[in-house]
Amino acid sequence: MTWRTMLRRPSFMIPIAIALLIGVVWLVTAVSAAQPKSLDEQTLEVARQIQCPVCNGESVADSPALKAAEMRAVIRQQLSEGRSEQQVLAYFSQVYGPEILESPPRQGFTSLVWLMPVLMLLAGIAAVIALGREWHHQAQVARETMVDVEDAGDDAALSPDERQALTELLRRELAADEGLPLTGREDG
Amino acid sequence: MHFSDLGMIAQMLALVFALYAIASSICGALLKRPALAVSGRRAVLVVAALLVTAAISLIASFLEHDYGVRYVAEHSSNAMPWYYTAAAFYGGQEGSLLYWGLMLSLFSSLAVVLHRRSPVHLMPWVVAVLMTILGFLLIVLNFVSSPFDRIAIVPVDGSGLNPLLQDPGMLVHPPMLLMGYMSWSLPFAFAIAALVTGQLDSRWLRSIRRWTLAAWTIQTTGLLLGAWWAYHVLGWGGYWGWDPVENAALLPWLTATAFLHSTMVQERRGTLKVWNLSLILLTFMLAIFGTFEVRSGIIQSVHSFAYSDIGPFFLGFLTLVLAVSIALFVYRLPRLRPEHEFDSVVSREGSFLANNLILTGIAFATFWGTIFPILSSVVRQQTMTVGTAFYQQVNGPLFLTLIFVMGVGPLLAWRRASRENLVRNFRWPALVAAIVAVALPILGIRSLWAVAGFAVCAFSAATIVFEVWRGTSVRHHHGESYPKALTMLVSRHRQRYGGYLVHLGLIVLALGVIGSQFFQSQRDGQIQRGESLSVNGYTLTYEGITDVTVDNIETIQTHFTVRKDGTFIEDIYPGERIFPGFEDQPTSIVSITSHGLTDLYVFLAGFDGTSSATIRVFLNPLVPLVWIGGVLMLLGGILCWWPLRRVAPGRLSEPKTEPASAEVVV
Repeated sequence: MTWRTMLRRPSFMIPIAIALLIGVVWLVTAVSAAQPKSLDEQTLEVARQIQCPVCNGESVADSPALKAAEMRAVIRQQLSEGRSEQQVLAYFSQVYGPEILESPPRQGFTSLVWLMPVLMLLAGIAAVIALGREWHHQAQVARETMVDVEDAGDDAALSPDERQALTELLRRELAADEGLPLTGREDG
Repeated sequence: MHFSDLGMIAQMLALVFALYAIASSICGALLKRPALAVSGRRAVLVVAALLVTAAISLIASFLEHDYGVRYVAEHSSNAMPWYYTAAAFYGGQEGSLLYWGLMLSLFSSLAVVLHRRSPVHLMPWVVAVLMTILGFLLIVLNFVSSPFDRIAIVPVDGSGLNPLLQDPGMLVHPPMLLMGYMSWSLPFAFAIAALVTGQLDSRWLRSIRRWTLAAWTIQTTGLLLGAWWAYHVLGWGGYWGWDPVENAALLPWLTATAFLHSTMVQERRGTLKVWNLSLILLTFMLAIFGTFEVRSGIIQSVHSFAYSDIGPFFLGFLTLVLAVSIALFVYRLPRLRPEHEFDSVVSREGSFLANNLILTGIAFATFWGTIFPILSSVVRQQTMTVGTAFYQQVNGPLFLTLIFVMGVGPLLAWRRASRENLVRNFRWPALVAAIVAVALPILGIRSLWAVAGFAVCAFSAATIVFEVWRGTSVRHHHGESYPKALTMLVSRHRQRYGGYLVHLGLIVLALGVIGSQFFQSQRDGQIQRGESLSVNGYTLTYEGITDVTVDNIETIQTHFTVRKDGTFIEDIYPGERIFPGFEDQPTSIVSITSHGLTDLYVFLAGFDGTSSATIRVFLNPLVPLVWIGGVLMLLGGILCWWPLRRVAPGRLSEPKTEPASAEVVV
């Protein structure tokens, strides 16, 4: 089958058309000008990335502590003076030490926290693929060595009559298992 | 004699009988003397009775305010209502360990009774393992951290319970989660017993699956209650903060979920035995790790009130469990060969592999993020935090992939899926997902991550609805009415449709998570009396404040009226409570009201006399779906677990219609 004939078939055209449609809509959404963030939103976004120094495991945005409220005010103040979010974060990191940041910097030793899960996942995917290949290989070897089974197991080796008879038998057995009456008609 | 003396004696005798049960069971198994094994089982029942006695003694000590008992003096006071006084039983470390032990002994007794007719060779080992775990706990309870220790100078009043714990959520959340941790002991015991005896037959597999399902359901309940408690008490507008202790509770849940799926492959195809056993051993170790981590104080957490010095004991126990598990594995490896081979990765088996890969991936990332600060402080002498951003960025996409695989997997045929199989099962769900993916951006949702999330959820939900509809209509064509066809379908394949219900619940829960993650709005503000604050069309007006003291508990409540687009909808009363003895630790009364599927969440951060109040307002869209989804998951879990009464005579395998065979029928 050539590409040309394949592309004419609806079973190929429809998914491709839908995928294109989604792509276009998403692209438009992604590039269309986002609304500028308000100062409140910006403050919260920065506050979410900073640990509250006097609490246990809560961010400055989440913590009800007085200290956190003061820090939110500082963030707001600095942002309103025109500093960027990164600059504000750098300021806090300098004053309180880098451990105040919620997410560890992606450089040096702490990049390991990000790298390891990715590496493990890749290793897992590789293992699953290797396992799949091995199973596939074993299954082929098994099929080649058992010629009889190969013939009997192949659907093409059945005549249409045989196939229909077996299908009917299977259908009846399954229906009986389900406690269903056998009057039903074939339907999909 | 005090109740505490009775408790102490019962606790000590329980240890003696637990040790006897271990010895008797192992001797019975090794010497092939059934009488000894039976004696070991009876000892389990005795241990349970003794621990029930110990627990009742402790509760009695609490209720009669016997402050001569140190634990009672430290965790209750005269001012507490009786139900919190009784619940203080598991409110501290010693008591929670006793509760753990009590539950373990009750579950062990249940196992002994339920499996009394099980194969003779397996049960003695199960009993021995369970009693070893319990023995460890009882040693800690008796010699290191006993709830029945008495103090020489009896205080007049106790120091009371941490106010965070004086909440209705406290009555149910900790016991459920502790019970969840405990319940992984049973699958673990069955796994170890199988490794010792080398018997991993289908009957064993059924037992271990049932116990794992039970534990899974309990742990799910515990996690949900924890999320509920956090949402209603902590006041930060969220229900899950990737706190180290929360993570620790999630870890065994993840690996056990992986196990429940991959055992289906073992059941069907006889492969993955080693993997499955490792998963269940890992689950138990993670449960112990969780119990240890909460108490160790090595990680900063909102649960810091549970710190203590018994961490090293748990670490030692964990090492022992790890060593024994590895040794048994190496010993048994030759017996764990697969019975069948796989054909194709594009098959049900393949999708289970993907499921396991993702679940263990999430578990690994969560574990790694949780322990990385310790690693950092050991290796680099530098403290650091791994905050929510890490978990959201790593686990978010993984969970989304999981939900996608969840939609695909159940509809793939076993062994090898044909092209037709793929097209026929997935064209409609794919179309539904495509419509969602196109419609949401047009309707104004700007975050593509959120759109992708909703589309994947729509896809997976559609596969489930489609599958249930297909099964029902087949029965309908055999002459059953639709409602009857549906109930018959579900009741005849509880495991399968229970599974679908869990999946559906997770999808609903995911919708709630996506909603609150991407569309939460927040506003903080100090407002004067009579003034208003607006968030997304909701206007809150400060009307006043009340201060009432009942039974020594001071309750301060503010009054706000809520208007939406100008029309009055409700009065809300966010406030705080101050418990006697904990004046510096007020607990908040968060006002949460649902409007459709959006929660209006108001937290009183502070107040200045009667003139002004500082509040924090959240609008949390779709959060009610988190609870609805959670309850669906629980129901699904129970449906899967519920015993099947039907026995089909003369069949070798369990009759089931899986798509592989159903393809011919439908």
